Amino acid sequence: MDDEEFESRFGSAYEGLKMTDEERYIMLFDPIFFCIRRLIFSLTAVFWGDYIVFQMLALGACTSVQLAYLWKYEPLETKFMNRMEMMNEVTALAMLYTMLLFTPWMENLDTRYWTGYFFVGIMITNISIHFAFLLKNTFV
Amino acid sequence: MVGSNFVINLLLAASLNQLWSLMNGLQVMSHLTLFGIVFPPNANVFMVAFVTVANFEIVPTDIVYPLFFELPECQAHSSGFELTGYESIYVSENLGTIFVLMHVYAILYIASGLLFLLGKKWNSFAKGYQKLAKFLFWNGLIRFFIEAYLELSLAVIVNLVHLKWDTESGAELYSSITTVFYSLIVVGLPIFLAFFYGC
Repeated sequence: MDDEEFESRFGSAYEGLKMTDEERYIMLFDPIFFCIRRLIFSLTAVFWGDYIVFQMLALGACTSVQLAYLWKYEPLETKFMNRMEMMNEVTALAMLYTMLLFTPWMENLDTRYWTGYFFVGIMITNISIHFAFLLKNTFV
Repeated sequence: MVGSNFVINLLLAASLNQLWSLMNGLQVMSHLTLFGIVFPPNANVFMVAFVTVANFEIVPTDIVYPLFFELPECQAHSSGFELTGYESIYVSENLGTIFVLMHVYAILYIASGLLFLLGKKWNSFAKGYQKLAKFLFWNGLIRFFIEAYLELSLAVIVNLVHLKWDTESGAELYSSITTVFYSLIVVGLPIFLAFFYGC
């Protein structure tokens, strides 16, 4: 993997990851879980459409596992990128918990409506932080 | 116009890792509408707008596809899928731009194979092959599959559930064949990555 020719052909598979020999197998988890997590998300969305609780549990579990992994091993090359990934996971968890108020158990329509703004606010905050750092790191 | 130019310049100059981080986060967040939950309308409008960005919908496939495919009328897998832009059960319609890009890649791989064979006789074709090979093998394709994985897996699983072989529609049959092929990619990518890092 240290070979330049190899990197120019396959580098995108491990781009941004720490690839030292001691940590290689721990770093392995990141791209594999990236795919498995999306596969679980797709399977639950297709087959568990009527079981909101199971869908939320599956996504919550995957997000928590990824957050714990990022926290413990910091698999990405820079501290900054690890923090950004953690922010993505925290955002996903926050949105997931907020979605509990959109379930049929919340009968107050006003609460649901105002929670909608909060939900959008969480997403906008995440995107704004990404764009702010994109601007800073590109132009400053 | 100035605003869109600025965004394009920013995206071109920005760090790729940061862009992938933004896209990956956006993909998961915008697909939360797939859950069997009725979102309030204010959140709905916002989520639908972001799905288009997260799903790489660059080509207006709703207009382009009917020129090539005549798929039977169908309903979305569920209302959540319809809301998230997966308005069909067919992989070709649900994948949209990604389906087009998959075919562009396939054509380029066939072209590179031909150039390779012709390059054995004529040197100018060999040069063309080398240029094309630099682009095709394999960085761009791996990144493309990784970034498109969520949409790909969703479209494939939905079509697998509604797979039809005994049909008179050629477009529907083609959709079934591509579904089986793409399902190999969906299953194969994590296995490839595991072997790739393990070796």
